[in-house]
Amino acid sequence: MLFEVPSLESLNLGAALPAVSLTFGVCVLLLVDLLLVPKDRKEITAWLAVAGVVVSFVVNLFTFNTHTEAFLGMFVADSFTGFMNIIILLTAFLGILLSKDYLKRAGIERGEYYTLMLMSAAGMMFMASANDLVVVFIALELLSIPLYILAAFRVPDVKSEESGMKYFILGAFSSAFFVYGAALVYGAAGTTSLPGIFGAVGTIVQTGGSAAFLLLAGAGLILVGLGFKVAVVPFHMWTPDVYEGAPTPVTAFMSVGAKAGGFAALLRIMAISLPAFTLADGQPYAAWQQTFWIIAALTLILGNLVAIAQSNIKRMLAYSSIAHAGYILMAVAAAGTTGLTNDATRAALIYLLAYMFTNLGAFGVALAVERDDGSGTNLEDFVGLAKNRPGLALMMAIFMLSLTGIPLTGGFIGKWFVFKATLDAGLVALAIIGVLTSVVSAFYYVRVIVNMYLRDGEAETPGESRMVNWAVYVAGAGTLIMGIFPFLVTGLSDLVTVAASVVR
Amino acid sequence: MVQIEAYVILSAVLFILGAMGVLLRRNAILVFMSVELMLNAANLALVAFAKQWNQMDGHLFVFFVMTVAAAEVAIGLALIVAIFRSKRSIDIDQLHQMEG
Amino acid sequence: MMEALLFLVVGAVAVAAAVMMLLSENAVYSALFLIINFMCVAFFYLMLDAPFLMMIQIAVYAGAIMVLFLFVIMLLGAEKLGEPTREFRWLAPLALALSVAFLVITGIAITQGQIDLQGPQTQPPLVRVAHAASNAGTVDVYADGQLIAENVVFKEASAFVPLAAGEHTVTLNAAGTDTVLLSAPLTLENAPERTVSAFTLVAYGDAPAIGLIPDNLETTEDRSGRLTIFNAFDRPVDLWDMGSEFNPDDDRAVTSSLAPGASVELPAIPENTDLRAWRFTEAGSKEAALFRLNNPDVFRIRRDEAQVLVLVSERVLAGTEQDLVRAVAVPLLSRALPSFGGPQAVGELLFTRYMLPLQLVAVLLLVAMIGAIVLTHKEDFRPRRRDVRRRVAKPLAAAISTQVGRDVLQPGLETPKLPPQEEEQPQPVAD
Repeated sequence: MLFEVPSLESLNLGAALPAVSLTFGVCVLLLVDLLLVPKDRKEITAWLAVAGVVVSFVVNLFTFNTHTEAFLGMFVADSFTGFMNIIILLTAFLGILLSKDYLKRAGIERGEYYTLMLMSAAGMMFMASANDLVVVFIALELLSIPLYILAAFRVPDVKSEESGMKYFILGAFSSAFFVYGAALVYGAAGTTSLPGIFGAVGTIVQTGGSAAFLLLAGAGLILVGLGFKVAVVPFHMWTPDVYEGAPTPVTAFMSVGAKAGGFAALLRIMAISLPAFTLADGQPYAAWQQTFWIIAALTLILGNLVAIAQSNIKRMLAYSSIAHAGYILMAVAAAGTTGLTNDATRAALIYLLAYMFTNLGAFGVALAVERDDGSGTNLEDFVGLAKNRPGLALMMAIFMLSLTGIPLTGGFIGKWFVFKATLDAGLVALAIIGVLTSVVSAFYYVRVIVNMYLRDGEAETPGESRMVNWAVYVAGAGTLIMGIFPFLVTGLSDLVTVAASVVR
Repeated sequence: MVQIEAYVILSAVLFILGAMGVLLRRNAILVFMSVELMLNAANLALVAFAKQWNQMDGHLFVFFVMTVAAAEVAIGLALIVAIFRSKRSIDIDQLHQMEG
Repeated sequence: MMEALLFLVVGAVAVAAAVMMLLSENAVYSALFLIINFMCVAFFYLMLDAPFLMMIQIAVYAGAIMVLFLFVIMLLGAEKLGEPTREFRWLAPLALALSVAFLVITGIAITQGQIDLQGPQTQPPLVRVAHAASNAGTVDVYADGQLIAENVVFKEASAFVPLAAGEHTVTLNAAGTDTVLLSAPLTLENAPERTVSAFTLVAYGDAPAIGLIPDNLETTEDRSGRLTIFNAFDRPVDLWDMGSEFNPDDDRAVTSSLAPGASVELPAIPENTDLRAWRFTEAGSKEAALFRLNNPDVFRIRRDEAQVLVLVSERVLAGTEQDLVRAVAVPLLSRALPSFGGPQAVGELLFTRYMLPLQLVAVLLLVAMIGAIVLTHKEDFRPRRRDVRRRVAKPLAAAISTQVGRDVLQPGLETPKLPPQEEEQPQPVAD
C-alpha cells in the first residue's frame, strides 16, 4: 500500500497562484525564447516577460486579501504577501523596461536575461510567502542565484564578471550562515515551520527554558545571513563593488528586489515567528530588538556618511541603498515591541514601496546618462542635464528629493511612518539618529540636483530611449502619487495584518 | 552513547574552519570549497538535531541544502571559468578593477 | 563506549582534514582533504540514524560535486596557488578573533541549551476506532467531548488521530445525534523513547463495550507483516491453521481460547502468505468452524502492513424469523511507519509535506543550468555570414593543401606554394 499523495485541492494552488503562475510562465518563456524567437528579435521576449508579470499582477489583485495556507502549510497567502507581491512585480516590470534597450546597446541581448530576472522575482515572491525555514532558504537561493548570473551578464567585461564573482562568494558565504542559524533554531524549537516556531517560542519563554540561548544564537546567525542579502552594516562590503560592476538595469533590479525579498523574510521570521521571544517572561520587547537597534544605527550612519564621498552615481546609489536598508531596519526593530508588530510591518512595507519607485527611477536616469561601454556614470556627467533633457532632469530631481525625504514625495511618507513606528516603540535615540542622518543625506542628494540645474555643461543621454523614459515617468508618477495622495497606499497597507499577531 | 551536544559542537568547529577559509584564503576555488565545508557543518548539526527531536524534518532540510549546494557549485565554477578566461587568475585579491 | 571511541577518532580525522584543506598549498590536495572530511561527515550521518543522507552525501557530495571541483582545477591548471598576498594580512587575526568569539558563543548556546533536556519529543499516542458492534449503527466517537472519529460504519475503522496520553472518557454517539450509546474510561500511555504507540479502540458486543488493542506501527522485519487477532464475538474462540496443503493432519492451533474482548499479536509472518487454510472455531471444538478465511484477496499478509483481524458477530436477516448471529472476520489494515531516516521515509515526506520545496529546488537547478551555459558560452552576437564562411572554408582547404602538397582549390594547376596570407590563421570575427 502506497502512502497518500496529497490531492490537488489540499495543495490549495489557487492561493499560491501569483507566484506559481509567474514561475510556470517563466518556464514557458524559456522554451519559447529558445525555440521560437529569432536571435535578432529578442525584444519579443521582453514583451512576453512583461506579459507574464502583468498576468501575475492581475492574479495577485484577486488573491490579495486571502488568508490561507497552501502547499500543506509550506506557503502562506495573506495581505502581507499580496502587498509584497505588488512591490516585487512592479520592480520586475520596471526592471524589464529599463533593460530592453540597454542590453541591445551593450551588445549582450540574450533571451535568458529576462528568464533569469523573472526567476529571481519568483524567488522573491516565494520568499514573501514562505511559511517554513526550508522554503525561506530555497527561495533565498532562487532569488540570489539568478542575480549572481545577471551581475556577471556583461560577459567579456571583466568588471561585470568580477562583480558577479564577488556577489556570488559573499552570497554563498551568507547562505551558509543562514543554514547554520536555521539549524540552531530547529534544534531549539524542534520544527522549521514558522508558526510552529512561534508556538515553541511561547513554551520556551514560559518555562524559562535554557533553549533560549540556542534560539538566540540561531536568530543571530539568520540575521547575519539575511543581513548580507539586504546589505546592512557590517555585512555591506560587497554592495558598492557589485552595484558598480553589474549592468545598470541589473543593479536597479537587485537594489530593490533583493532588499524587498530579504526584508520580507526578515519580517516573516523576526516579526511573525519570533515576536514573543523575550528573555524574561513579560518583557515588552523581543530579545532581538537591541541587536536590530544597533545594526540599524550603524547602517544609517555609515551608509549616509560614506555616500557623501562618492563621485560615481552607481556607487553613491549603492551607499544610499545601504542607508535605506537602515531605515527599513528601524521599522523591523520597532516590530519587536509588543503590540506594535502590525504597525511597524506596515511602515516597512510602505517604505519599501516608496523606495522601489524612487530608486528604480533614479537608476533609470543614471542609465540614460550612461554610455554604451559602461562609462559615464560619474556625478560630473550630470552637469547641465536640465538644459538638454529637462524632463529627465526634473524626474531625477524628484527622485533625489524623495530619497532625502522631502514632503510631497513618496520617500517622505515612508520615512514618516517608519519614524512614527520607531517613536511608538520607544526607540527615541534611534529615531533621532534617523532624522539626523536624513539631514546629512540631503547633502549628497542635493549635489546631483545642483549639478543638473546650476552648473553649466553639456550632458549627453546616449541611453535615452522611449522605454527608459516610460519607466522613469512611471516611477516618477508613483513617487509623486504616493507623496500627494498617501491615503491610497495607507488604505492598502491597513489591510495588512501579520498572522501570528492574532495569536498574541 | 555519544551526546547530541558533541555532534553539534563538532559541527560548530567545522563551520568555523570553513568560515576562516573564506576569510583567509585568496584562491576563489578554495574559498568556494570552504563554503561547502560550512554548509556541511550546518548539515551535520541539522541531522544531529533531527535525531534529538526524533523527526525527519532535519533530514529533509539537509536534502535540500545538498541540492542547493549542487546548484551553487555549478554557478560558482562557471563564474570561475569565465573569470579565468579573461584574467588568467582566480586570486580574489586581484579583483580590483573597481576600487573599493 | 565503542561509539564514543569511534566518534572521537572520526571527529578528529574530520577536523584534521578540514585544517589540512585550509593549509595545503595545492588546490588538488585541498579538494582531496575535503573529500575525506565529507566521508567522515557521512559516517556521522550513519551514527545518527540517517542512512539515506549518508548515501547521498557520498554519492552526490563526495562524488559528483567534488569531482566537478577537481575537474575545474585541472582544467584551469590552477592547482598551484599564488602565495598569500600582503594586503588584507590584518584580516587573519581579525578572522581568528571572530572565529573564537563565535565558537565560544555557540559553545555556550549549545551546552547551556541543554539539548538533551528538551527532546526527544514524545509523539502522542495514535488512536483509531474500529466498529464491531453489529446493532449499534453508524457512530461518532468523542474523547472528552472532542470528536475523534465521525460516521464510523460497522466493520470499518477510522483513521489514526493523535490523542494525548493520560485519562480520557470515550463516548460513542449514534452518528449525528446526542444519543450516547456507550461511555467508558480510557487510559493511554506514552510510548517509550523514539517510538510511536498506536491503539485501536474496538467497540463490540450487543451492549457495546470498548476493547483496546495496542497496535504496533514500528517497521516490520524484512519482508514480513504483522497480524493481531481480536475477538469481538460473544464467546471464546480458537484459531486453527490447516497448512497450505489443507491436510487435516497438519492442523495446528494458532491461538486457543481467545476470550471475548481479548487480543493476541502473532509473530511476524512472511509477506504474501495467504490465510485461506485458517479458520475460527468455538473454543475447545476443532470441528465447529465459525468462519473460514477462504478469500485470499482479503486475508493476505502484505509487507510492512500491520493487520488487525477482528472476529465480529453479524446479525443476518435481523428482525425476521431466521434472525441469527454469525461470525465474520474483518481485517483492519494499517501501514507500518517507514523506518527513520530511510529512503522510504524521505520519499514520503518529499511528496507530501515538502512538495513545494521539491518543486522550487527543481526550478533552482534549471536556473543553475541556464546560468552555467550563459556564463561560459561564448556567443557571437553579431555574426557576419561572409566572415564565418571564410574562417571555416579557407583554412580547411589550406590545411588539406599543405598535406597533399598542392592547392586543392585549383586542381588543374601545379601551384607548389600557397600565398603566405592564406597560411596564416584568420582573424577572429569579433571586432
